[in-house]
Amino acid sequence: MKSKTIKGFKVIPIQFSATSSSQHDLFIKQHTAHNQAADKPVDRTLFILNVPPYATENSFKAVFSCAGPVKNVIFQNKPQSSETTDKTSQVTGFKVAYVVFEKPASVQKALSLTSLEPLSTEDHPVETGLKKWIKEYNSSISNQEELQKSIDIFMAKYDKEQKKLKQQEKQTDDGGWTVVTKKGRNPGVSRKKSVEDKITEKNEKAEKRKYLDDFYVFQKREAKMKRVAEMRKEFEQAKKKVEAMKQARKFKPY
Amino acid sequence: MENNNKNKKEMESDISEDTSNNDEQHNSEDISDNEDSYNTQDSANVKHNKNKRKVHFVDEINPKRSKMELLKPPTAEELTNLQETQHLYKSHLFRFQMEEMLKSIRIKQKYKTIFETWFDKVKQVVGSLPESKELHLSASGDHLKTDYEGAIRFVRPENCTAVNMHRMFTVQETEIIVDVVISMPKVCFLEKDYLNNRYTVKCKHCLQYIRKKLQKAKLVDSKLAIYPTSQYALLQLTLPSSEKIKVNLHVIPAQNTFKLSRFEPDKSNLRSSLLNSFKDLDSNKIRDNGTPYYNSVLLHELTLAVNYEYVENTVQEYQSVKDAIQLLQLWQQKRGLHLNGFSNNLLNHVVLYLILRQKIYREMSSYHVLRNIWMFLHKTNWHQEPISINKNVSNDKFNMFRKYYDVIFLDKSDSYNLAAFLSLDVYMKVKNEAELALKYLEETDFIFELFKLNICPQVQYDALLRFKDVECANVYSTVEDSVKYKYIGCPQFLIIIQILKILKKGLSNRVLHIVPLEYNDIEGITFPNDITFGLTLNSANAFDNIEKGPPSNHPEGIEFRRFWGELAECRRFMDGSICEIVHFPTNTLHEKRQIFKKIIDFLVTKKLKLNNYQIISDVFEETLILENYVTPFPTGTGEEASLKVISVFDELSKILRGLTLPLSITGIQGASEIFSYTSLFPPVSTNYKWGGKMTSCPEDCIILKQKLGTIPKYVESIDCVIHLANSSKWPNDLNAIHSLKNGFYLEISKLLKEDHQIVSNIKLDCLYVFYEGLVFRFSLYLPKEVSILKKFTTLNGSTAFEETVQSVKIEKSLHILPKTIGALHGLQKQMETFGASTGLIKRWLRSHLIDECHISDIAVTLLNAYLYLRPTAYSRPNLPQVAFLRFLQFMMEFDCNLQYIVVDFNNEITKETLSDLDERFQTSREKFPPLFIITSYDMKDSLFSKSCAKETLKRMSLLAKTTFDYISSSFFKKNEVNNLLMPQSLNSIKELFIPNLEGYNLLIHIKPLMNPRRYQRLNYPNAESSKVQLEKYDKDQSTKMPVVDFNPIEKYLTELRQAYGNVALFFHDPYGGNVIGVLWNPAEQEEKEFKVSHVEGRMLKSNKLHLNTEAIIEDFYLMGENIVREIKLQR
Repeated sequence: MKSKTIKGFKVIPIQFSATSSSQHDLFIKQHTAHNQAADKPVDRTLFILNVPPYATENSFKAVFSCAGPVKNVIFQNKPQSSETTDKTSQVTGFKVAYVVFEKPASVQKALSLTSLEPLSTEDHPVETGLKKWIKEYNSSISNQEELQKSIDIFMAKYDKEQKKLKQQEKQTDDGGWTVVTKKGRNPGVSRKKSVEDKITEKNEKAEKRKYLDDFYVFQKREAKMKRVAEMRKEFEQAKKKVEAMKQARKFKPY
Repeated sequence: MENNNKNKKEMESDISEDTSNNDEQHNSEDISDNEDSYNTQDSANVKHNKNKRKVHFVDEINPKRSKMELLKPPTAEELTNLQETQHLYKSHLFRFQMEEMLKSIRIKQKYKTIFETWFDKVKQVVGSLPESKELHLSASGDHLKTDYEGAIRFVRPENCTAVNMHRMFTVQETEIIVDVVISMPKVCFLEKDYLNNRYTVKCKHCLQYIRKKLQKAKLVDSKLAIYPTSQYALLQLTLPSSEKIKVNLHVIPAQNTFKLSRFEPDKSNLRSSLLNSFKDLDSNKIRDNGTPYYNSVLLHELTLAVNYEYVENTVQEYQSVKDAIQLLQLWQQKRGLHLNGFSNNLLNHVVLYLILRQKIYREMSSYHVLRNIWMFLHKTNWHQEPISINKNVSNDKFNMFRKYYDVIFLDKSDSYNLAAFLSLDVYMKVKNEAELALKYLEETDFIFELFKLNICPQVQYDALLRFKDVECANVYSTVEDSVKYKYIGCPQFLIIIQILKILKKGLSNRVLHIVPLEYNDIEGITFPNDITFGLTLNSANAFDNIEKGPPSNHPEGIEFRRFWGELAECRRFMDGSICEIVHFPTNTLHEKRQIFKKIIDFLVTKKLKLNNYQIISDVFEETLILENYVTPFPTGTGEEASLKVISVFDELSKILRGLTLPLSITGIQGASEIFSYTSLFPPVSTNYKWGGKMTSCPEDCIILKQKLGTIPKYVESIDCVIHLANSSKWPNDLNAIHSLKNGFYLEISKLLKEDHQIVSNIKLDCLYVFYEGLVFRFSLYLPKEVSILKKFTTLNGSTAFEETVQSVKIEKSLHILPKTIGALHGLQKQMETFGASTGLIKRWLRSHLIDECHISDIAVTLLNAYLYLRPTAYSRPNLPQVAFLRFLQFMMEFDCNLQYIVVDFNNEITKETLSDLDERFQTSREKFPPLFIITSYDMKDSLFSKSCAKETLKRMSLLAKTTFDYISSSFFKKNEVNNLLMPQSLNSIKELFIPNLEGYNLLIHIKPLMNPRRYQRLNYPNAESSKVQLEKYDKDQSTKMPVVDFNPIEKYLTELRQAYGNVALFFHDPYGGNVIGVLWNPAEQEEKEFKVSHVEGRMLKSNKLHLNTEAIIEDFYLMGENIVREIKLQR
């Protein structure tokens, strides 16, 4: 069977297990990028679209190991050639995969494949449904001692870093500049947006106070005009609203 | 309209002065001074906005051009127009609405012409009748009997007038009704014809004769004419030329035929009982007693033409008054108030009265006229201080009338009580409705609920009591003789009054109103067949367990005991008194709500001896009861279960606050709807065991075994939020905060175990605590965390805060939600039906497969809260059913394009904020989510309803309409024989909660045993069910944390939605539903060009992308492995 290609992508079907009756199409191509990312070397990376939601990194490693040893598999929600930094966000649904091989030759070999092993085999089963959820549930229950230990380690490290930072802060820098903070004997204005806003508001108020409100004839005239304008605005709005209500048949009592 | 313009011109001179004055405030006060003295209070209300929050919105609309337009110099005409609205109406919006409403109810010229041509012909026919003719008295099938014998002399009628022409016809739902009066000359009648129905029978015969003549002239279609069974000589006919126009043809004696004083209530005009229904009365006594109601009927006929003329002449020049009358009639009809004694005639006289007393004057707008009429109805008490059209009616006269009638309003002649057939209860209801209307007018700018919304009995009253085929003889036998004499001639009214009397005696202060509904001829001369009463409960007393009577040794005590029979018992009270009481034992709020039903059952069966009746008040509540559980304590409709959770929570939070932690706990808030009583099935405290096939327990927590055939019962955790004392020492790093939070949880967990032997675990950054058979989930709320998430540095280097997805999420669930829950809890405390009605709504909505993902629980709750808090023309709902029906009605009418929801819990949102918002909403609707809800805690984002789609709202609206129509037609319809009292009736109610599975592309069937919430489902009619016993919590038996929040179906749905959310929609009933409906997204079904962003779930076929449906369906199986039974394809 000659496999289909489109716009540089090769189409290879993949199925879940040996007993599955239907397949998803994977769209495969060699990874290309202008600015290379360290974790996705262009020559050794395979770019794959339409990866089924239940595929796991391990299962993909196993599937593509037929083309050569796989170093790493990266799943992402959307194609993105820069380095994946945010490891915490969950990848869900149909996804994009970057399969990084050990050797560049494997990429070509993978592209010449016409069929793939199923995702879930006896050696590398993919768990779905109830089994998966039960496992998730059971592992979500934390071991209190371990948790305590990990917190202690983290905090010890954090405290050390903080101490270091604080010491750096205290010293004057090379050019002899000291950092002015809002604390201390001679505090500066803190550089917050809210504070800045307050200052501008205050200035505006002060500016306003310089003028009298109901003094000149033109001011009175303007005030009167303003009132008329307000009434007109209300009038127009009401008209519009009633028109909309009329459209919605709010005035047909029966 | 013309008149309005005239008014405008008159006002013009005033106003032009005003403008130079520049003091608008002063002017508007002037006007209100001129108005009624009552009106002053409300204008004050509007202006007080102290201590209210205000949110500023940026004004984005207003391009320069429109500004120019706004500032161009006004013409004099425009100015007057603008100012006039300010003085004469509430606002422009209000004025426009009234004008539109009037336009839509005004009768078309077409119908006027049709009537006029018909009427001209009738006049001709009547004019050409023979001068004089002998009519033979035939035995008609009429129920009206008389002692008159011999022939009747028919003389050509004097004149023929259409009496309510001044209003240009009366509005009715699908018909236009005109009253035409033909008056017979004096010579037709003998002197003593006022006796014993004589003249009415004569008139009836004349009417028949005239009808024959009209029929000959083809002016009357014999098929479309009916004689009502009342005592009036009245023929209702439909015009042959237009079905829409109905004519009431009256034949009455000419003016001055009889002396009206002959018919005053203390006079007797019957010599013997001519009716079967009053046979037991002594005819001598009839002669001695007054016959007030019989007299009123005759007086109505005799004064008909004169009074109409008087009203017409007075009102003629007042266009705004005519408009107001039309609107008032609409208002009455929408509330069913026109059918039970508050006739149009009476309404006209109210207006007449106000004009004569100069409370309404020419310059008033129809808005003011309406307001004044409502104010008048609300403030006056005709039952205590009778009123009359004439100014100097003596007190003696009033007192004489008061002996015979409850409510008194005398007409021009001083002899006729216009309110004769207005029972006190109906009158009180009218007053109540007037009050509600005023309140609505004051608080909103809309007229929708006043004139458009159908306030049908099932949403107007808390409960309906319906009698079918009333065995009137039984009721009649309970009436005292002296009362019978009074009502002689009007058996229908007597029966209704008697039933009312007994009901009122038994229910006493448990009800506010009992209103007889839906009967047309109150003066009817036959016993009624079906009667319906609407009941409004008095929330203060209706649910009391004890009906306290007088002391046992008093004569009233004996009377009390006699009335209540075996229900009465004797009890000693705390203050030492011994009283007669009736005690209704109850365990739950649900049972308390049934007390009034028990009383009615007793009154109707034992006192009135009627059997065929039904009380429609709580047909839905059964769906809130956990049918499949036997609970360790009564849980009722959920309130008691919530209460239990809250009390356990209070204990636990006391323990928590007592712990010695590095930072003390300053507050613990509930963040689950259980705390506001609006959760449908709150968790029930019970024992949790482990071992066996399903679970094991290596440490403190029960865990699941790998292979499960059945999923353990769902245990819902109860969300709570912990606040810690302020501290500046929290780190500036998110990871560090996260670590410290966990440290806190660990500390609490340790202390709980050591000091109190309470099991807890930290899971997914929350602390789960198992206490008293319930699982609580605590989260720490740290404002610092939020501010770190929000913080960013602007371009010029200053620090600013902006919301991020994460920060909003935390604020929403840990800050805004608990506050909202707290406010909702307060609402439940004020309105006890709130929780149960919200439960009903959720049960209904969810059962139709619309789950949390489509519209969140809290959004539904807020919608219902809105119905409780908004200004409305409804009275307060005192039973969940009526609140549920009102919700359905609201949903039916809900138009998300025009409306948004303001849930103002403590009147914290200012008018300025709202008008600001209103403006923005109107100009840029698309910037707001389809369902836009703001509360005092969430003023701009509508966090809880953001994700609700327009389609969902549409679907809800459609479902609501279908449900409401079904309920209305099957349970509340007149003349429909159905017996709600039968047990199978509940099944038909349950049908409303069975989803329609047609229309979905796929149905995923779940294995029932894999559904942990299977016990919450509604048992379908005739389905087998087995009850599960829940044990009472025992500290020694249940020591481990149960498997909590484990719901594979929920997981399954989440995964499906994540993976296929854009390809298909999923529908499911979370309360035990075993079917997931799948609907393909039609846009995704089409083939697409190849594009990297298009490939998801698709396959390549001849260079185009097609949805790989087959593989996706197999994926559905795969992802739901072990829980999916089968997937069925539908057409």
